[in-house]
Parts: sequence; structure tokens; C-alpha cells
Amino acid sequence: MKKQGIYVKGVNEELYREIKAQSARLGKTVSEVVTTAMQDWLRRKGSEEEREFLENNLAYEAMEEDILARHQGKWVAIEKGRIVVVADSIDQLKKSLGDVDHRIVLKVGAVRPTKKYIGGSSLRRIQS
Amino acid sequence: MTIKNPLTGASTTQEGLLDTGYDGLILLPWSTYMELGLRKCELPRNLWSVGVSVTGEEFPLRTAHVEVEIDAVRRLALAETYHDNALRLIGRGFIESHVTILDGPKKLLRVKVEERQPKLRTLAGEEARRMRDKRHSRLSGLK
Repeated sequence: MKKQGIYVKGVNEELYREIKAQSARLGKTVSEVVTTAMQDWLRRKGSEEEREFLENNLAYEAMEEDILARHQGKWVAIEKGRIVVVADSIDQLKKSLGDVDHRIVLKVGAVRPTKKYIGGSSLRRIQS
Repeated sequence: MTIKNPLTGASTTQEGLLDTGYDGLILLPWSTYMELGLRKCELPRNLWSVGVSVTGEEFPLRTAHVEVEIDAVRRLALAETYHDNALRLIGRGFIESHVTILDGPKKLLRVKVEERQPKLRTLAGEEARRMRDKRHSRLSGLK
């Protein structure tokens, strides 16, 4: 893995001193400790997103028939496993949205899944 | 082209490749999809299309709503991606709904603004009317 030095603005000085002291006690460098902390944060963030992704999709799949029957042509947003807003346009959704890691947004009845061929002319061009 | 998250306003402007071999509207690199936070504007997974590769392999196409701007045309569209994809494509689905001009020497695709079309049609109509009137007046002069 490529390594590089980075400068991070706005780091709490006391926190940095504590990290430096603890790292020295453990015989590690600040860089090793910070890298581990960043990896942990990303892992946790990833699982939170995954959890919300599953929660929203399972909720949609359970409510799909009802949504199709009641909200045809409307925009629907699902957050944390529940419908948070039904609106006439995507712009109107904005007002009622929360701070989440995953959200389902759809115009009811407007999308049908299909099979799509990928790797046509452009891929051939890139490969040649 | 400029791709914008319609809910957060996060956007990126990058070159896209026209690919008439791709049936969809817009295919984004996985990294762009994540950077724009399109997970927060995503279709349910049972409405995602299935991508088919050159080798026949099938995989889900994660799909989200985006605002696309190409030339002066701005519209809502569905952008797709799949894990590790690095291609940025404008597909047949996008160009099918617009009047486009392929500028060969410049290797550019231009999208005609729809508002201009009625104006062009009107001019063509006026020209035809003028020609018809001219012909009529010539014929009436012969009588």
C-alpha cells in the first residue's frame, strides 16, 4: 500500500498529545494509531450504511403492494425502514428528509427493471 | 457532463463517453456514485436493472436519481453503477429522448435544447409557406 504524509487542519491539540503519549507507551507511531482509527471508523460507517440499506429495502419490499396501490405517480422517500414523505415532486421531498446514511427515493410506478447490455462500443475502444 | 445529487446538490463535472452499446441512461464510476452520496437517493434494490457484460456475466446495477446537465440540457435521470466500475457512459436511453448532433472532428456529442426546436420548425414552416405563396402567385400570373 502506498504511504504518504498528510497535513490535517483543525485537530484538537490536547487529543493529539494524548494520542502521541498513548502511542509511545504502546511502542507504536502516531501514524500507525491514526491509520488504525481511520480503518475502524470506515468499517463502522460501512456497517451502518449496510444496516440502513437492508432496513430500507426490507421495509420497501414489505410495503411495495400498498405503496403501488396508494401512491401511484407520487415521489416516496423511505428512511430507517419507514416512509418519511410522499410528495408530488422530488424537490418537495427535500424539506422532510433526515440525516441518514441510506435512503430509498422513487417515483411510484415509473421504473421497471430490465436487462442492460454493458460493455459495448466504448469498452471495445478502451481495450483496443 | 455535470452530475448532481438532486437532494443534496453535491455535483461533479467530468467528461462522459457516448456508448450506443449501453442501453441505460447514465453509467457512473462506483467512486463517483459514492462521492456524490447517491446511496441517499437510491431506488429499491428490486427495481435495479441487471447488467450483462461482454462475457454474458450478469450483475445488479445499483441505481439512483441524478440531475444531469449536458450542454444546456438539464434533466432528471437514473444513474447506474456496479462495484468497481470505472466507466462514465452516456447510454442510448439518454440520447433516445433528445435531438443530438455528433460532432465527429471534435469528437463531441452536442445535445440540442428542446426549446429551440419549435422555433426551427416555425422557420421551416414559414419558408414552406413563402415558397407555396410564390408558386401560387406565379401560377395565378399565368392564368
